[in-house]
Amino acid sequence: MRNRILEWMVTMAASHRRAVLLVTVILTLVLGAASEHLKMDTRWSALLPESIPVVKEFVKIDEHFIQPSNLIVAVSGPDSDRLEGITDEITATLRETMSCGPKEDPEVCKGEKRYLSYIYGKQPEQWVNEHLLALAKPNDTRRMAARYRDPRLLPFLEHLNDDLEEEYADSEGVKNNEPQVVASLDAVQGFVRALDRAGSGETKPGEADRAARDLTVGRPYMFSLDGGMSLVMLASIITTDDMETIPLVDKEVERRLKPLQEKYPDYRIERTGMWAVGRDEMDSVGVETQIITLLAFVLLFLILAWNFKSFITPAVALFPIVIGITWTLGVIALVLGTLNMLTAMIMVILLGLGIDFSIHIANRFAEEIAAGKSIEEALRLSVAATGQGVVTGALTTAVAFYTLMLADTKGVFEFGFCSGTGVLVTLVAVLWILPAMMAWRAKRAERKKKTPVGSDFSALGRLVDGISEKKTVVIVVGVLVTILGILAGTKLSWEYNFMELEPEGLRSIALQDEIVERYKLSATPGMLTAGSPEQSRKIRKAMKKKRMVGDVDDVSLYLSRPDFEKNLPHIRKLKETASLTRTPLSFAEAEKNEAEAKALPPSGAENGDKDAYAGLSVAERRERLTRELDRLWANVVEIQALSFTGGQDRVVEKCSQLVATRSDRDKGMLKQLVKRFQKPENIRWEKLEEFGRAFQSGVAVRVKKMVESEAPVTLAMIPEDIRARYVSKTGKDGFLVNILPRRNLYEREDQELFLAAVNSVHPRVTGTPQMMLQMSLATMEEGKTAVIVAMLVILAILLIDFRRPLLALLAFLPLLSGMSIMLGMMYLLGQKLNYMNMIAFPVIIGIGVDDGIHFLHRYLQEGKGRMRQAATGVGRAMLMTSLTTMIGFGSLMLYLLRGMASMGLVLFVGVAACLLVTFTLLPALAKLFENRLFGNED
Amino acid sequence: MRTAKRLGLSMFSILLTVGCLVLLAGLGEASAKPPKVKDILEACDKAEGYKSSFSEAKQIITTSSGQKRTLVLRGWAVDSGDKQLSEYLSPADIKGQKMLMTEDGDNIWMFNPETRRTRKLGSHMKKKKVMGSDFTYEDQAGGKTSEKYTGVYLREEEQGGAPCYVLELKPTPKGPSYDKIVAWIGTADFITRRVDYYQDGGKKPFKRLISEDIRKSGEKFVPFKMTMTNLEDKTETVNVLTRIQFGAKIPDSIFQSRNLER
Repeated sequence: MRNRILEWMVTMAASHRRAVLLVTVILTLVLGAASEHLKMDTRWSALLPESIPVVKEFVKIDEHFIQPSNLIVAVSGPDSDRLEGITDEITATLRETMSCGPKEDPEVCKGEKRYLSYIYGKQPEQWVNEHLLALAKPNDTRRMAARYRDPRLLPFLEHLNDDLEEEYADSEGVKNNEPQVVASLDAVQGFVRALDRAGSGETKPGEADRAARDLTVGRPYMFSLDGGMSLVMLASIITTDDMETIPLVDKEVERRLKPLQEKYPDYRIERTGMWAVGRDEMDSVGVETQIITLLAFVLLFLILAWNFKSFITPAVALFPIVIGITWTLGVIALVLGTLNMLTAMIMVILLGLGIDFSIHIANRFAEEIAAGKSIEEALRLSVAATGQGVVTGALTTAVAFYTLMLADTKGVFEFGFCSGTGVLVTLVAVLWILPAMMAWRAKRAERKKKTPVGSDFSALGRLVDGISEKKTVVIVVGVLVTILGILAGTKLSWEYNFMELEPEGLRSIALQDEIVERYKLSATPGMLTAGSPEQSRKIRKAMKKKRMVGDVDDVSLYLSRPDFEKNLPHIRKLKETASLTRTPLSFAEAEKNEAEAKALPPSGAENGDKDAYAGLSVAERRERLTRELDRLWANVVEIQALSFTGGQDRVVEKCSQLVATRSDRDKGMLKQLVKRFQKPENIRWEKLEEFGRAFQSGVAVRVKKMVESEAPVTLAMIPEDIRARYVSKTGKDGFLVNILPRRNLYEREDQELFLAAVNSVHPRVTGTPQMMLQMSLATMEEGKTAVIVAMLVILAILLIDFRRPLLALLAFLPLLSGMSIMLGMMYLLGQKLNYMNMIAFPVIIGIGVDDGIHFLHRYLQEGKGRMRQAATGVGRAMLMTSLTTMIGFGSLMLYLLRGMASMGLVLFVGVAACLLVTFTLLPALAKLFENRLFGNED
Repeated sequence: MRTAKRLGLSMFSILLTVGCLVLLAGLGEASAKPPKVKDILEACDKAEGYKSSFSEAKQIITTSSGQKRTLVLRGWAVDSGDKQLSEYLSPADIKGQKMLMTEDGDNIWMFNPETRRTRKLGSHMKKKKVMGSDFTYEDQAGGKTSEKYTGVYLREEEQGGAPCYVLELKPTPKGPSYDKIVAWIGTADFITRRVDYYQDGGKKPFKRLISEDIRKSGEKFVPFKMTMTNLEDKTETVNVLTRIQFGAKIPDSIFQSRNLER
């Protein structure tokens, strides 16, 4: 059957070249047109079956929710107040230039490069202020009512201290309220800094008001613990499967922010998030890399040209591969419709394998023509004889790929289908087009009376023959090296950390780590959907108790609790008792104080309560203020000790900024402030009084706003941009809960710990790290089975092809031994298995099998005692196929993208190892079993 | 059956033999009836109880950020821990910090050496974790197990190489906040070797205490290593006793909160 088909192809190439051309053109047009509809889906979810709950959840979130964590602008610099301003400017700039309203046509926005739907640089400050008391737990509302009842500087500080002492007396209290404690300490830090400046007479405009804001409503920005970084999260109208536009979004953001970066040279305005990492990754393939690749392909072409003594023949050999790839893409488009992250590499694989088919046939053709055979005879020998080996090799490789379709993992299944089909389609393209093209070229050469001359490879033949004579040594060494390779290969581990596959020093990745360092939180959340806001609240509460969870961000943060009624007495009490219009307490001079007391109505008179501070002299006020600052110091020191043992690093860090560490307490800003106040002559009291007035006013305005409403906050009351973060686009697919890990989940141990913790609360927590882990585990599990099944299938096909177990085993040897050596080398070179270098494996399997099959076929054709002739003939093609792969893909080793570099390395080493075994161990064994192979022909 | 006949045994004799074995096994079981749970718990209280003790220990905890932190502390206790005082000796950040518990953990005070302040914690704190460890205040509180729990005998099982009574215990109104615990108590020395803790109606334990390195100190058997593992969070706290002295003379005044700063 195989021979008849090959003979028919020879006839077609020799006599019906126009028909061949016509069929090729039609097929290429049809399948080329089909391939135009092929879509790229490089999402992780496209690799895994949706039957897995976390995959289903990932897809649901991806489709129905916005994900602002995909693109983040981080601005960092020395002055925290200035950072607020720059953050506002960034938000305003992006809103003005890149925002696409919810009612606008996304396609129009896309055309105008307005890719952003929402920009989150700041909380809706006014809204939070109005509803703060209705959003808090009853106990927190009670605390706030007690804290804010007197906005004057001294009483406010006293009440703040009372609250800290009451609330944070034990480590568990600090742990359970870590984000709130951090926010409070952050506000205290701003207050202390402002007070310090006021005391020394250097007031900054708006500083007192900012301190009042932070201590009451909270800082509305996403600031780092050290106050040196602020984040702006960007939600896009572009969906995560639109891989073409995603890099453009990041590029446009960068372009729009460039003028701001120039305006503030002391500040860094940078981007991170998965989208920015993706673009940086693409940009890492710079001009130098492209030149290297180009040079490698020029070198490859020159080697082929040298081999064929022609510049056209290599082009002729490559042409059917290009056609074969086009046909393959067309078939994939018709059957699957999409390419995923794994199948996107199909072109690389087909180029690597397809060129081998061409070289073997073209080489034999050139060899036979050079030997003086007619075109028809040369075609027959190259296609019908050498073609047999090519077909066997291709079938073996294709079936090996098809075994991957046994996998449950969608990505692996599709990879099996695409690669297997691709190999067969490319084989058909080569066998269909190449003979016709070769015949046409040969006819033209005949007319011009040119005799093709091939390169002389007789030295290679002599070398292989010589090696085969020393069979004992070669076999012992070969077997030993193979065993060592297998043993070393078992020690190879899997690279779970995908960042290790990215280029080294990528800024967007370094920035992700910097965010973890500065915030003690990862910006890449685990996610799940809750059925209702109340379920979301329960999940948040349970998640927060988990050690690996740093914070939880969900819609319930913006909604009143079901027990909101319990807040009302505290809100009413604050409304009734807050002394918002009291005369500011003077710290400046006694006379002024007394004059004020006479001129103004008694403090607190409007509420009918007594003012405990009214009767204090200025000296007493100053002394009490100093005492309260010292008390504040003591409270922060105690909170630091409580959080130290429990490892609440964010709290420890924040406390350290206020009170330093135990060994150098005197250096702490709060201690220094206390010391300054202990010497009243060092204080500019009139400036401090000015600060106190502004602070009091700032607090009073906000408290007044807080108590205006007694209504609970419902979903409809949440500002639209905030609601969009948590409520699905349709409004029917639940509520998004973001679970922020304490660190980036790059490593398997962290991924598993985080998953174990969050899954004990809810089994559907998903996210990019979870998908990566799922994929790694599934690939490792199914990869092992696939390799074993593929090896068995290859062996079975070889048995069918050669019809003798000995021959089949010998043909299998270069693959088995070559791969073992490759695994051993990977171990010695410190390589790990990863997604990228796994792509190299099919190519190596294909070439390894080809090497064995071609060598044995040719040796059997040549006959007993003609090892040298066989090696000279087929060795040339094998050397060429291996060299082209090693040079072409080996150039990837120079890529900055470490995943690519590792793929290049594995391909280079693997193909070289297979070739080495084919030229050494295989001939030695063939020689050893020569009599059995040829049945004692002598 | 053919084999039985070949061995010369009739069906009747087989049935007779099996019947006798069952009867003997039943009698054996009846004669090895386990002691009452109350008796086991009282024996346990006696074995683990003491009049007074002074100890030095290391506590290795897993922090929220996943790091291990070693704390060194010393402690004084009387009446089986009904009153106990601990002082942290290292690391430097918490050196001198003291914790006083009296009345079975109903009263807890914390003293900070830097601020020289003593703070009383509310009694609701009993079920909270101590200083970031996996032990709660009520785990560390003293008192008698026989007064805190009642329960049923489950089985006898080996734990840490020693045969143990396995008891399922539920807290009395005076007892701790867990739903239940399952305790492995040595049949010979009545030392608790393992405790599984259950809460929130869970069917699986959420944390587990393992007592190891049980050696004699004076007249008493003492576990020198106790590991509390949070099975959900995958954290653990290891308490290693480096020194223990029973019967030490401890003035009652050190268990008064006002004296903590001395």
